[in-house]
Amino acid sequence: MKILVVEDSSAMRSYLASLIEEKGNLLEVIEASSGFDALKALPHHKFDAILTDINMPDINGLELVSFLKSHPLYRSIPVMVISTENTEEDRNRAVALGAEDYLIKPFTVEELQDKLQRLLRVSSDHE
Amino acid sequence: MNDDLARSRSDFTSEAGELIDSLALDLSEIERNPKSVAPSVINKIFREAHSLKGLAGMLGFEKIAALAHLLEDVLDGLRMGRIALTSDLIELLGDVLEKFRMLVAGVEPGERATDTEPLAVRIRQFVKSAASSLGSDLLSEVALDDQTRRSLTEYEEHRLLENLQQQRAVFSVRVNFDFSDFDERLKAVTVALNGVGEVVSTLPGVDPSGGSGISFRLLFASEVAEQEIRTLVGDASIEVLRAKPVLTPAGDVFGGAASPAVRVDIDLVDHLISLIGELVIERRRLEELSRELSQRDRRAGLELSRVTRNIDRRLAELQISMVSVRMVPMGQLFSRALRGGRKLARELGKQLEVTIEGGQTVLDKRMVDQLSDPIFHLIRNSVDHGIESPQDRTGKGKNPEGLVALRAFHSGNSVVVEISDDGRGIDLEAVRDTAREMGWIQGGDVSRHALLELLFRPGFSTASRVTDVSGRGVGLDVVRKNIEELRGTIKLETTLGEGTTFRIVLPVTLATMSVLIVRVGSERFAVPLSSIREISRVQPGSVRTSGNRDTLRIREEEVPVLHLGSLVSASPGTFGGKYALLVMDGEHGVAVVVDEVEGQQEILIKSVGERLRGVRGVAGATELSEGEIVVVLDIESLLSQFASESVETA
Repeated sequence: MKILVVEDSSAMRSYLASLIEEKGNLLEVIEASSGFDALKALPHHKFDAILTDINMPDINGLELVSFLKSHPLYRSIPVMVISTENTEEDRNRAVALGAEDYLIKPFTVEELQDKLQRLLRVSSDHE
Repeated sequence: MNDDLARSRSDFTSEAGELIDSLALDLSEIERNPKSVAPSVINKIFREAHSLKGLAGMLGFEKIAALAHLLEDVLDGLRMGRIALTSDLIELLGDVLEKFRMLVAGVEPGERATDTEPLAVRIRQFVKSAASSLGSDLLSEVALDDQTRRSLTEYEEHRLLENLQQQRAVFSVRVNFDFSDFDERLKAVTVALNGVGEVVSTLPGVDPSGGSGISFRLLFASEVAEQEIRTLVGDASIEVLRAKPVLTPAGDVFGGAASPAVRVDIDLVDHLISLIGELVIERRRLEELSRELSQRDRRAGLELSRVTRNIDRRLAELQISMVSVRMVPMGQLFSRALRGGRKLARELGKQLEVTIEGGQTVLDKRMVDQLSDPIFHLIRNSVDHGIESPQDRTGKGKNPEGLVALRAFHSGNSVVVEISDDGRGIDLEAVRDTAREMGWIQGGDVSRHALLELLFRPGFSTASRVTDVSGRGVGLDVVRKNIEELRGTIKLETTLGEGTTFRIVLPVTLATMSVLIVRVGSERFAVPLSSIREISRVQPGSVRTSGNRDTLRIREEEVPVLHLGSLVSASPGTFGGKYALLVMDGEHGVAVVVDEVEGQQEILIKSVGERLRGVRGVAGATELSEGEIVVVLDIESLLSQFASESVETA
């Protein structure tokens, strides 16, 4: 299963990838460093879930969610936005735009893995 | 801890280092020009702090995470316009970065006990002082659909509001691109638009034609008209979401929050100033023409001379305005210099308290740039050699924290910069001994003033004994040379055991100067008015000679005489000067005697070219109305030459 991780901080991105790609779980992470990268990656892969940061330059996470949820081909990919405790309003907007879930930094490894499992179940329900 | 976490922890130092470097770079961008910081730079700093916090938090570096969290709060206030960007805040951000570096350098899981609490207190004060958020009623003026409105982050919403308050129009610009190269094309459009306004948000959308392309809806705020946007973005559908309000006259409801500043390359400003200088010279030709004309046609001649005078006034105004364009406040330079001083103090295990006064004092931009080396040097000297260790200070009954104070203020046509410390001061007895050893002085009395001057002499600092004993004197010759290149002077005052103050006096600008035109023999010279205290006639026979020194009585005081003729060697031996210019060398007056005083003039100073550059006593050259080039004398450096020669001959 393929997961798209959209995050402009390279350190955070590789940390997320390393947590998701645990040994033996058959998850593959495609990393995107910006909203642009994410848009470019979309036609080349069949993603089972997308994790995106919110505050990014150019295209932000909310705009990405808005695009995904209004696009006939990508609408069904479950999306989880990653935000911080002091950006509650942004988080609410993401959900209003159709994001399936959110993750608040800092999070624990278990929290991420739990939420990701749930997200992937949403994904398989669609099929 | 699992393997991934262990690996990530070891990666943390380099990743965090990169984030901090990037933060430092952005902060220096802000410091360079705090009045016109692009919102995107502030948001970038916010995101960097945010990433640092996230990383540190998850990997268990709690101190860094807590500090980054506070930093994020203050930056959030800044990007949302709740906190103003002040020099205090810039300094605080610099200190926080410094602390991050220390924390990251020392991080091991568990972290060393590096105290972050004082910084945390300072940050909290800033956050507390933050004004409440702006009202968002204005947003309803923009015809935004729900989808768009929801996809704005709080930050973007704030940017939109700011633009509305600055009376800008808001447009929706919709562009469609082929999927293969949409990123480059969109970037090109965004760059073009950001040149004339601000792209607030970029919302990607499905290709409206149902094809495989991609569309973008840009929310764009700007002052420019729709047609102009069209020429910038080519094939786009543009919609006005909120028209530019008709400006109400002064004192409109929003108080005119727009910043009227533009950024201009200093080279361009210099070019404009030299163009004005050329116009001034051309104008003088007009004056001659009007005289010639009036001999043939009186009325036309008078009319031309009236027009010439008007041009003259306008040119003078233009000159003054252009010069003021070059002015920048000194505060940025000060805070950078003091940060360096603090860093050094930490490395040396000294405690330092720093104060800045008059950071708003403006000075020519080029001078501020060239001042940074000498000021850094003097601060380093103060911290390294002046300020004692905390133990020594306590032993002497002083506060364990050494004080370094930076002060700038205007004084007449000059700017004064003072760098003081309350350290050990300079031992003038040691200076005297060393000067004797070096063979610079022989027995006899050497004035305190002359001893202090010796500290600026090249080669003095190599006498290591003085550096240790006097606690100062490293590279002061270079500092003086730097200051003199800026047509400034540097003096120092010191009290053993109590501290030292360096006083730098600079002209406000390098571009223009008021001078007195004087004549010696057949040659004319320009003397900066700022150097002259008073002008008096020399009565025949009033110059007294004792040994090889001449003196003149001015206002009940016997002052040494400097015959300008002998210095510039126009015609040695003819000391029949009629006028004395009283100039000050420290507290002492010196009478500079010249043959004639021809009058005062505002001049544009030109550099003197390679041949004369660095010649002591020459500040530059200028062109007089008749096209004659005269040398502008640098009286202060002539005097210090005169003083050191007197020391040798004393």
